[in-house]
Amino acid sequence: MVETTQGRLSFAGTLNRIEALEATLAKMFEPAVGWEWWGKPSDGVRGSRAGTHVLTLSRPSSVDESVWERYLAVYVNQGGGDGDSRRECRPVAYDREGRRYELADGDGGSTRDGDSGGWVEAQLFELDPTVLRNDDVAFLGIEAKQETRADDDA
Amino acid sequence: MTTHDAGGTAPQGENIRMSEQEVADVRFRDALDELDARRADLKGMFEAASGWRWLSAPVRRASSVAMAGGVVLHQLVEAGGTGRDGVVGPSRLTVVAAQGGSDERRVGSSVRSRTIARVNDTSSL
Repeated sequence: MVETTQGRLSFAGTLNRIEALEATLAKMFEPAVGWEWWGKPSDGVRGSRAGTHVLTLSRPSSVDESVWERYLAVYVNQGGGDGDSRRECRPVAYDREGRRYELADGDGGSTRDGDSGGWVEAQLFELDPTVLRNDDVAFLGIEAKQETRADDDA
Repeated sequence: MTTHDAGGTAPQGENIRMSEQEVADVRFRDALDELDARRADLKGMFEAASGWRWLSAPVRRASSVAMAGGVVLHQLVEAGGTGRDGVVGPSRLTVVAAQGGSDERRVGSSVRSRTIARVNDTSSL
């Protein structure tokens, strides 16, 4: 476990310390019961990574429509061939205190090729800026619902 | 939308919290604050060579494609070739910097590479 360290460290010491802190923080993120991490929470929350596109969008404020407020939005994309099942996913944001916020399900769509059975899906999730401001998002992860035997049998 | 305190208050219906040991030893906020401070320390330890400036400051894990000031950086790991003796040579880390534009906007392109002993070593670059 990381203990508080004061003072300036060497390059190697600083790098080791960063890795220890990252490992400590990583242990604090637990998925919800019945869910597992599809993408573990990361503080590199912007841009694209496997299966997700993280966006900053804007919309008129509900309080003052002349003011546009920025908010976090995440596209979760998945696809597969015939017989591949989609996974129920949801992005989860964390603030600097470690509080978690599940993003709300928004627009989405999917298409399936009738011949090959191949399919793709894109689902947009949004984080209400009145709940957590975009700039206050410290970590972002993607949870996937654990597959059960009942799911396999279906 | 539901909110849970990962470090304390248990959410209704979902049990999400740190272990008691973790709560006792370190707070999320404290660890994150120190992490940011240490990262800033590390960033300050990199100095560009005299007469050069960072177009893309060093990062621990460079993405395969990155953009900085109109320059696109492609990071490649070239697999080592197999020699006559059947031994596979060391992998090479290669970064290709691509840019375009008018002459006056030219930053000064260069392609640099260095050989590394193990591909795994790139994880710390």
